Amino acid sequence: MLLQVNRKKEMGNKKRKILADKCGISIVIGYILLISVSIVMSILVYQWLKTYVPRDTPQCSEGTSVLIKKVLYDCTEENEELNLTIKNNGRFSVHGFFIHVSNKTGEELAVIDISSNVTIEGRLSGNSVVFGGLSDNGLAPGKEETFSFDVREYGNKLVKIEIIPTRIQDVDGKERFISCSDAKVEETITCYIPNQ
Amino acid sequence: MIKNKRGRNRNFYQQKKFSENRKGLSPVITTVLLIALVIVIISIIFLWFRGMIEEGVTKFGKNIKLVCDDVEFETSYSSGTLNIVNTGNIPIFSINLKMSQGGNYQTKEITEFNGISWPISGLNQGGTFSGNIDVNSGTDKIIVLPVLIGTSSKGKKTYICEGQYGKELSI
Repeated sequence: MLLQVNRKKEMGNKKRKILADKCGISIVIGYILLISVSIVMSILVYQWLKTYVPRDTPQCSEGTSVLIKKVLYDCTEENEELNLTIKNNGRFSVHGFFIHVSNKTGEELAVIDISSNVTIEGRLSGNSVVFGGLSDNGLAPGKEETFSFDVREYGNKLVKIEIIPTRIQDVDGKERFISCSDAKVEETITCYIPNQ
Repeated sequence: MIKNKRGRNRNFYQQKKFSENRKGLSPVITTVLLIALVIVIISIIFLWFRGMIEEGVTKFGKNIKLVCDDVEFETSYSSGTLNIVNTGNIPIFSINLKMSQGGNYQTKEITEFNGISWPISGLNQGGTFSGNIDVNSGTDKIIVLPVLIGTSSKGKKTYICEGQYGKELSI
């Protein structure tokens, strides 16, 4: 009698064990599914939210400054030229500059780009004029350089000149071309004919 | 016929074992069904939800809405001529002009005006634009809104910066 009871118990235990094993498969799959779904979801949400995190925008180093030291607007018919001497009066070296002129009196903005009219070859990079090489800041603090621009097509009418310095700066390990809009300088110009 | 103490023959146990084995198939099928159902439901919800949320457009690895804050440009308007200079480091792909006429607004893209030669690639760093735009008589204000181009999962996409990033010009 006692043996029969023990056998029954044993059988019951075996059955339970088998059933428990079978249930175990579904739990493991459930966990795997849950974990993988949550990992995939978190990756997707992270990728999406990452784009909303504000990052430092490339800004020109504070203390960058240039000065138009000398302007000569030669209006001689056969030699209509604009000669500029630009001095770096800031704390950092400068790569180049954007140059815009205006031919209308009272116009707020100078919108004529004369960078392509620079007479010295190899000094043009895109729509900016460069001081030295194409990938370095060629004008050191305290130094100055003179440029000539052929302005014959504007017929003695230029009234204003605007210059925005540019720099090559390291941004996140990459060298980037930066426009220094805060260091913009402008000057009114009047045409003169030498020996008159 | 061999019978045990309970009087049950071998066939009885074999049948029982067989029926137990057949019952054992059901949890596996249920699991497979459950997984398949969950996957199908998730994909249906995902497809529905994707259509609900707006598509993310990025520029320089940043959401384009944040890039609008970095756009720097100067603009002026005098005797029918609109002047724009990109003084910042973000290229301006296009310009939208929101013209106000006594409380009414009309928005036009710059290329919609006749005789305008807007650069195809937009205004890069240091780029300038000058062109005559015919505004309706009675227009008292123009808001110049920059349009940027970014990348999305569907390729290149333009984005018009919101009003606070625009420049207001009085006529």
